Amino acid sequence: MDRKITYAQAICEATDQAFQLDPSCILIGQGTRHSGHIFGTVHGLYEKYGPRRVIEMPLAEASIMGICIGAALSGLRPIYVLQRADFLFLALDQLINHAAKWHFMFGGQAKIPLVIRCIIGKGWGQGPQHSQSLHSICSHFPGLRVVFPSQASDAKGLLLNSIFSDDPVVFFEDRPSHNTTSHVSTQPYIIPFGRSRILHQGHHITVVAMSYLTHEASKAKNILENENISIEVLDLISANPIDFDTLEKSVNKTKRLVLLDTSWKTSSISTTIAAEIQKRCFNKLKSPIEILSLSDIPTPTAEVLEKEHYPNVMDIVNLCKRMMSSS
Amino acid sequence: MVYSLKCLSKDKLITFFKIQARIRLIELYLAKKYPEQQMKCPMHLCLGQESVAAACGVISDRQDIFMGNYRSHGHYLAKGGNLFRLFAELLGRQEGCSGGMGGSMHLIDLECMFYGTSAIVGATIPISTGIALGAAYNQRKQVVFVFFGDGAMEEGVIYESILFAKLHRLSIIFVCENNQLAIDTPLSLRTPSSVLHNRFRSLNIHSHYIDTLKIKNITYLLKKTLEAYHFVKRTSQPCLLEFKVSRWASHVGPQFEGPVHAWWQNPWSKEATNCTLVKTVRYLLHKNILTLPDIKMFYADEQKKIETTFKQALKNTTPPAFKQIKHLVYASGLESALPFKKNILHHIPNQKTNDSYSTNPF
Repeated sequence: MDRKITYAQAICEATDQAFQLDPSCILIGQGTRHSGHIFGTVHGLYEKYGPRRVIEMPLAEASIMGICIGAALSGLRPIYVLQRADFLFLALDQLINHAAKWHFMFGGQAKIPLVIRCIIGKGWGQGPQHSQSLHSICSHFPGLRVVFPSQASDAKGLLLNSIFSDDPVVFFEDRPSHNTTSHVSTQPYIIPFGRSRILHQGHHITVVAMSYLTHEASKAKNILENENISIEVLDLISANPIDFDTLEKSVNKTKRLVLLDTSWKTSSISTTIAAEIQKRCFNKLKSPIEILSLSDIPTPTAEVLEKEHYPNVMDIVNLCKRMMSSS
Repeated sequence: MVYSLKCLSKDKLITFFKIQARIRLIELYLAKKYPEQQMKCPMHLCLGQESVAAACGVISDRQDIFMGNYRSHGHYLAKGGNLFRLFAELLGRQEGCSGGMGGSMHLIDLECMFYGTSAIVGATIPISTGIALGAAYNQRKQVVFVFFGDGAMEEGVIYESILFAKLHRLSIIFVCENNQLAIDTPLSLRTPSSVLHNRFRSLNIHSHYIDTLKIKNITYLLKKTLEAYHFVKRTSQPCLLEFKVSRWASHVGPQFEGPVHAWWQNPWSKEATNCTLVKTVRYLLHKNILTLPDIKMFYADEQKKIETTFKQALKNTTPPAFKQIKHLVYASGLESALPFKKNILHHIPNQKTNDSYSTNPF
């Protein structure tokens, strides 16, 4: 059975179902017992499962990452929630030097089934240290799976896939997506890593978006239709591995590619995708690949500045129009 | 179990001696062979520090867990780690304890509950705390030992992990081997106090300080370790042990100095007074537990075994193939299996265009 629920509810439902399916699942985070319940994503879990399985963490992000690794090594399936992805920097030694490499450097003898849920703030003056998307950084390191779903139904299936994967997974969610809704099955189900989704078919330009930018791209599609420009909107979903095959197929059809990135362009996943697609589709491309991302400044706090900082619907529309008129 | 010194039987004392002596002989052998350049990995020898690993090895049970650091040949061997697989690992062979993927700094032997080591200072402290959390979660009566040096006492994770272990009543012993050196930088340049164990007093952490260089009666070292072990078992609380030790080896590589040879040639040698192994030998001789010929014979037998094992590790092994190691990056595939699959609908939503998405009001 399907029904419409929010992204936050889908995350919560996936966690609840994983807890029911497997008694070795635990959740550790800050604010698990407060009224906000991490933006509704762990609502009711503490009341249902108690302090043994829903652990309120001390503010010790670095060690908690290591503790989750140890718990995973001893047979548990921990979910570590960071209310802001920016705090991940405190825990990168454990994530990159240890979680990502443990299976490899011990010859495959030990595995780390661990999910790190990182929530990205946007708007209302989150400022430079509460708004960063670290998907590109995380996707750089072999040994981690990185996902960044935008739809509630994908969030549920991917979170279940992440929890029951035997590898460390960095699971990005952004705040604007939490309140969006989509049809989600009541049953537990999984969505594999490494698959992008075509949200809307089109034939002039492939627009690859991630997270909240998929919502912006969907709006742009409607506006562009009035201008007789048909864009194909792809939701990237998985940052490691990247679904190059789906992207290639789409670009071979549209012959134009726009990449929307929630972070900065320099050394980003978008530049990686651009490099690979220009190689695969070199002879088919009718125009240079464009990347729309944050400009190279930290996120400003004041509302008027924020508005200019983040790419919006009209930025996407204008870029697509420019691309069509010049090729 | 009530704490009792009677647990320190003659057998335990002999085992304590044997583990120490074996680690010493193996490390000396590695120092000798290292310049031949067959073992191509950074090697941090524990010459001079063997007694800490040996004491923890002898008082712990088989199901207890050890985690080490980059200087962990001793911890691995004291927990019962396989010597052939250690040598094979140092030689970078598939048959090594880490499949040839780790080298000296990444040792593991899960069969004897040696859970691994890290090249990053202090990093196994939170990981072992998490292992203790897992043990508590599943009500397994295991004690976790994590070994680190004085350098790790300067890292932030030690404070965070001890706080967590205390809060969640985890059965873990934090074992600090204070050799007063970070590579070659002395403790005095790094920290305002030379005694480290009492740093967490405000957290009410049970701790002991054992100066292995000054103690006269070697059984004190074992008794204090045993006391800590029983404290953790009895109370389900963490404990911190600080052993002041002397590192005779260079930070990395085969160079060493110290009274390493004196112990079996002449246990009464004055040069060897700081050596815990010599102190152990003296105690065993003094109490008539072993005789000097016993000790010499043990040495000769072990030496022979070490040489034979190394030759086997050199001869009967193969290096891993580069083509195959990419399969080691991930433990599982892109699609996970839901547990108890048969009870639930296994449903992967359509991955192609889905009309329900295109009508989303975004």
